[in-house]
Amino acid sequence: MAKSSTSTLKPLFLAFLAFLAAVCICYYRTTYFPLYLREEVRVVPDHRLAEILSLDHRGFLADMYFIQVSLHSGSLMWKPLKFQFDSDWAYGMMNVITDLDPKFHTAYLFSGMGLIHGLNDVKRARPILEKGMAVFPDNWELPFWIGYDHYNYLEDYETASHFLWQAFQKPNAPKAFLSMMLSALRESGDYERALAAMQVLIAGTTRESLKSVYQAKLIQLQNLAHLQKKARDFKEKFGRWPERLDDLAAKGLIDKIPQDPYGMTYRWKPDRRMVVMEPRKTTP
Amino acid sequence: MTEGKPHIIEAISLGKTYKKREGPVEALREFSLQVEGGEILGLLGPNGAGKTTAVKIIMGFISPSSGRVLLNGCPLQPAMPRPAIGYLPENFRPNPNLTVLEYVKFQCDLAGGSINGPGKSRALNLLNLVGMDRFPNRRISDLSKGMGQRVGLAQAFSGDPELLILDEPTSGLDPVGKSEVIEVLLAMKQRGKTIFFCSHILSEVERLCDRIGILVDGALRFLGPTEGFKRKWESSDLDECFKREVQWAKS
Amino acid sequence: MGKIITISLVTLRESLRNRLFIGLLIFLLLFFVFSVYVSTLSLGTVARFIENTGMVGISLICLAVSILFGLFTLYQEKERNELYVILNRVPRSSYLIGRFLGTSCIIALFALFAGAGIFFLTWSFGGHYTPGLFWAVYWAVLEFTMLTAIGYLYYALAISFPLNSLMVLCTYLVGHSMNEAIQSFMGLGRFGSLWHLYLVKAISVLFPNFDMFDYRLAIVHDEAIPWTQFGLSTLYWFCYLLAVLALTSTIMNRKDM
Repeated sequence: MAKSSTSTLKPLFLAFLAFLAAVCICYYRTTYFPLYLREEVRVVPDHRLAEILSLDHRGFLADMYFIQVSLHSGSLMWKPLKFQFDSDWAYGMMNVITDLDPKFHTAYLFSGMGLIHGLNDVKRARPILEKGMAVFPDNWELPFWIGYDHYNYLEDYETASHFLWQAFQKPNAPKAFLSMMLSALRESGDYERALAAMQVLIAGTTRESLKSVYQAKLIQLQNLAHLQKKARDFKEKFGRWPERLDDLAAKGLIDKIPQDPYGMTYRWKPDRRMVVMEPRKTTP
Repeated sequence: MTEGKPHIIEAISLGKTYKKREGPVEALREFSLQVEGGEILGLLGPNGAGKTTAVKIIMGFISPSSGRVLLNGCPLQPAMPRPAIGYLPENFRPNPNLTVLEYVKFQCDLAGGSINGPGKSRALNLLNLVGMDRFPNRRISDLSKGMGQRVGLAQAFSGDPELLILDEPTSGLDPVGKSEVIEVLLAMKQRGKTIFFCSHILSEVERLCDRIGILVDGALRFLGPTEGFKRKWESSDLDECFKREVQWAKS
Repeated sequence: MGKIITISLVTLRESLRNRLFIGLLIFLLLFFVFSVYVSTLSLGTVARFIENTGMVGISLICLAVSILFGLFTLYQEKERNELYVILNRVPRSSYLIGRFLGTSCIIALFALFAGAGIFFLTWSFGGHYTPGLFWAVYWAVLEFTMLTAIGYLYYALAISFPLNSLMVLCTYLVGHSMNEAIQSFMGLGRFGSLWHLYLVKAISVLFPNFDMFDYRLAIVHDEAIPWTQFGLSTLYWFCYLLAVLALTSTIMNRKDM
């Protein structure tokens, strides 16, 4: 019996030693003689090729590509100093992902939210989010994120207000972004819409103290809208924009420049062709 | 041919040529044979003589290049089943994932016919006949080659066929097994069955056959009683006669 | 009819006892684990990820069953010379149909098991109740029974098993690339010769079009499949299958075995 157990253990022990040796050799080679590592090549596949390769499992391939992109984006969070985020590749992949599965809602959202790492990313995200808007016409989130990105990153209030207004019109759009939309509308000079939004804000507020503040802001917006309209009337009538707001009064389009409830000054900006509100300058 | 009754099997000038890459290979030529009802006819020949080809043509699995086959006087319909024939092919191995009883019952269900009762009891009777009644629930993959061959014989007998065509029926069997199979085949003959089988084991041929056919290189060299073959070569040793026949044919 | 059912039942029984059956079940379970693992990287869309990965699992398992149970057992039967014993008793077409039915049952069994597993995982891990997944099972059964029938056709043409399995794989690939390939090659054909265009059209007609059973995105997005599309796809399957099986029977009846 002892003889047979020895004859089994010996080759097993030999096998174990040989395996250990192989592991050690492997470790030694990779540690002391590393291979030249090529820079990682990231390729955006052609969307039709991707469809063919998916073998009708487009959803699955879209998911796998999505994981790649999200991991790439996540790597920036973990290694911000060492990692170079490849926006062109990431957004190219998001384009392919949304071509493979046009109803992959999270992918559109991710393009507008999680993948924004720089100002140029906002421009890259927009066509993808717009693609999503065509697929999900009743979804408020997609136009919201276009608006949000343009508002916060690019300070492009005109674009921001356009998309935030679209988002606001969608069913089930929350009122949480009304303030931002109002700000964007005001900054871009779209006072008519700002007025409508303010009225919604007032209607949705139950706190009296807040209501009185909003009422004052409503008056401000009414003033601005009125002045802007009169400036357009001036343009229609005289073929040019006014130089200052006083021109409107001089030409009889307004009686006088209205009083701001907070004492702000209304000024005409000829370069932006809109009325703006500025703090009154106090002379020392 | 007994008066008024057609031959059970009648092969008329059968020929078969296979088209191979190296050129046509004539496996069978001018093969003519008749099997009478109630007899045991053995077809002998060395390896590659064309025995299996002849059997497959008779069974309708392959079509002859020339000639024709009549079964009970009717022309053979190729690709049609012949449930009245019990067939055991060469190197047969039954389905390894079934038990012995399941397999024989399966074949009984396919064959139809009756041998002492329906379904399971029929199968058990067959297993008893071939000496496998002690292992009905054993998986076929666990059987030895000889035991598998016995299962093969059992399936050949299922459906109670009038004609049995067996290709190397004792292949893989031990001497005791071979003897048992021979006894079974003789018992089948007593019941009026016709048996046509291929073999190259001369001792069993001598014991079993009423007539023998000698096939060498695709041509039938002899067809007749065993004694007649011995007289032809003037020897009482069948083995010796066979060797001389083969040598003469090859020369 | 009785003999066809006998053969299909035996096919089913031998497949269930085959060790490959356990192996494929283990593969399926591992695939479930993989799908749950992958879903953890999904940024909140767990159910979707499990469903998509699960449907890949269904396809893979059914493909394996088609080749390993559908085709390999046929070749093994011929190698064991058991085929001749059976063909001695039943017509070749009955044998073919019996085998096909048995294999179809195994495909359906695996697909159902996989579908149920994914349904359970989606519900447990994704919090999403998706009975529509069982439509994925239905379409998988249609797709892979069709593929098995094509494998039988190649078998009838006396093609060896390795070549047959390779050709079945190629048929699977071509069948799934049909729409995209047609769009690509038709575009090329317009600038090439008319014969090129006819050739591409002929290939698209002769080869099975598995895109007819591709409702995966609709299932993942919980969209209802219109009854007209359902009917047309099922009718296409029925007609194509009938044609392939009839052709295979004809070839088998005329060929030397």
